[in-house]
Amino acid sequence: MGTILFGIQLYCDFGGCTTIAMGAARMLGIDLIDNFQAPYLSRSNAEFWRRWHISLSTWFRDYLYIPLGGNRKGKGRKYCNVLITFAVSGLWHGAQWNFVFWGLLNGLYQVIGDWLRPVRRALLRVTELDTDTLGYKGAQVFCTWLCVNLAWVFFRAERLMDSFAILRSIFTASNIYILFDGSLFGCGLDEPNFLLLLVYIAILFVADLCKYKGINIRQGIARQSWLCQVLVVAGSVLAILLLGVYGPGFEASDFIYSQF
Amino acid sequence: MTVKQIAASLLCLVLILLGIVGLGHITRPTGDDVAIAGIEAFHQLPENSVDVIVYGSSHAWRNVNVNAMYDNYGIGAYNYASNWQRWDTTWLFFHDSLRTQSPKVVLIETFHVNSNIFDDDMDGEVYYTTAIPDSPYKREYLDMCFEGDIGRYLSYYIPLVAYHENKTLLTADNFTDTSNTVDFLDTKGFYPRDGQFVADVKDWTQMEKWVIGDRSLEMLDDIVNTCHERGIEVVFFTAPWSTEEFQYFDVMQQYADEHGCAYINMFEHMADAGISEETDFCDPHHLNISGATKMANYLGAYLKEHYDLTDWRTVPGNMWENHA
Repeated sequence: MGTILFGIQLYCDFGGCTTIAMGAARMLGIDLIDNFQAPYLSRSNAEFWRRWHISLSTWFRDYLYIPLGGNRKGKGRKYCNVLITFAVSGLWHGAQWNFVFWGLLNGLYQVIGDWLRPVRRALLRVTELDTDTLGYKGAQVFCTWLCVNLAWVFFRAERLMDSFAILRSIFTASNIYILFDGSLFGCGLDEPNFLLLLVYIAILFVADLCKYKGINIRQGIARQSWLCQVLVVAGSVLAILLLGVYGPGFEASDFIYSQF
Repeated sequence: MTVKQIAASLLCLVLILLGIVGLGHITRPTGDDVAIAGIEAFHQLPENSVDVIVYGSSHAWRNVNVNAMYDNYGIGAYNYASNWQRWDTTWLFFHDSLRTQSPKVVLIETFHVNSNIFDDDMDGEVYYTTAIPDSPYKREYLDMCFEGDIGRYLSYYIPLVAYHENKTLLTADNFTDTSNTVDFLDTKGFYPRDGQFVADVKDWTQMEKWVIGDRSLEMLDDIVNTCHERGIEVVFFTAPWSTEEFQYFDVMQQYADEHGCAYINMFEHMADAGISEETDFCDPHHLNISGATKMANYLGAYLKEHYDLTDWRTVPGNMWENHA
């Protein structure tokens, strides 16, 4: 549960700040790149890194992966370049082994994904599975999300060995019933706030789905009447003021990506 | 920008401001409604109409039924105390009261004499002081509480900033104008609570003796000096309770003796006042109406004996005569 929610926290923390930066820049007439394009709806790890922290990913692609040879020197060299690029990306986040491991793991996902592509195609041919169905795409999104979240364990842990301990506890957990007996509400969020969190996640999912489908919510609102736009803006500001985390007791240093 | 855009922007701004005020009211700590009502009632009193004012924490607010002082001794008193009130807040209430009143005697309760709100994070106590009008003393008080922290000032003046976390704790009371049901103009500030609790009041002579810190002493001195300058008599008192075993009795007695004030330790005079542990408490810290009436009678007798106070029973149309 902690791993899943950390992934969401990281996305909201980082994605939220870049959205604020985009909004502030747009007020000054500057259009910034949208750094997050619904990454948790990706159908592969490669796609995930084309949708998450796009500015950094493209920088590493342009200034490390391609100068190393990219995919122009054969498969073996390509896999090597991918692993090097992701390892360096991990190091960029911090000079600690857990970050390097996190980077390498993401690189490994891509290497394995690419290496097994012929196998997957063969399996699809044999099983005659329709890849255009919601079920198939949902399964891809789920698997990708699972892999990314497992990697986040290394990103979040203080030390590499702690990451393995966390993973071990995830896969050997036998007390699954504690998710349903109310114990969850003693871990930081009480029940009403936990339910609110689920609502926020649902809203985030819908917003990302719109982005994934190419539906521009801002333009949709702009096409409505001026009164509707006023109500949306006023309502959004009040929602932020009511539901936001700020005020006495809030520490701006709790913002995760400030350390990077 | 077109006229329509300007109008839309202004409407948006107005809606946001109304929303901030409305949501701030809804998420307010409703426990403060009672205290705010008490403060507002005090400020509705005619100027210079009260001879005795009681100050302090809930040990005064709920323990001194001032109407009993009128009934038995004709003393025109008002109970300008409140919940949880630390010493600096009492200091603020004291100075605020003197802007509109000129009492002859002040009765100051001392449970929190060594506690100051600026030692803690902002809580409901500071919020209820929003009902106190602005003054140099209030600005000084807020400066003590917030120590220049802009965020805490914002939280004070914009309740939504402080209390938006209450959004998951709302009750029906939050959606009312006020949850207070006490007519403080009738009770003259006294907050009556009934019920029965069998207290176990400890032997005050065996309690751990505490001292008063410098900051509290400064405010004590300021209160006493102000009173002396204005010819106001000062009576400190400590109401009985049955939990914490610390005491300022000795240090308060010493302070009172050194500064020409009186001090009444009600732990010592419970029996004289007829206050019973069995029947006169409603919880470990507070007297019920019966106990508060006995306390007021005892204090009233003391005041009548030692000070020259108007017998308001001889003044037709006084504001105490028709109390419930």
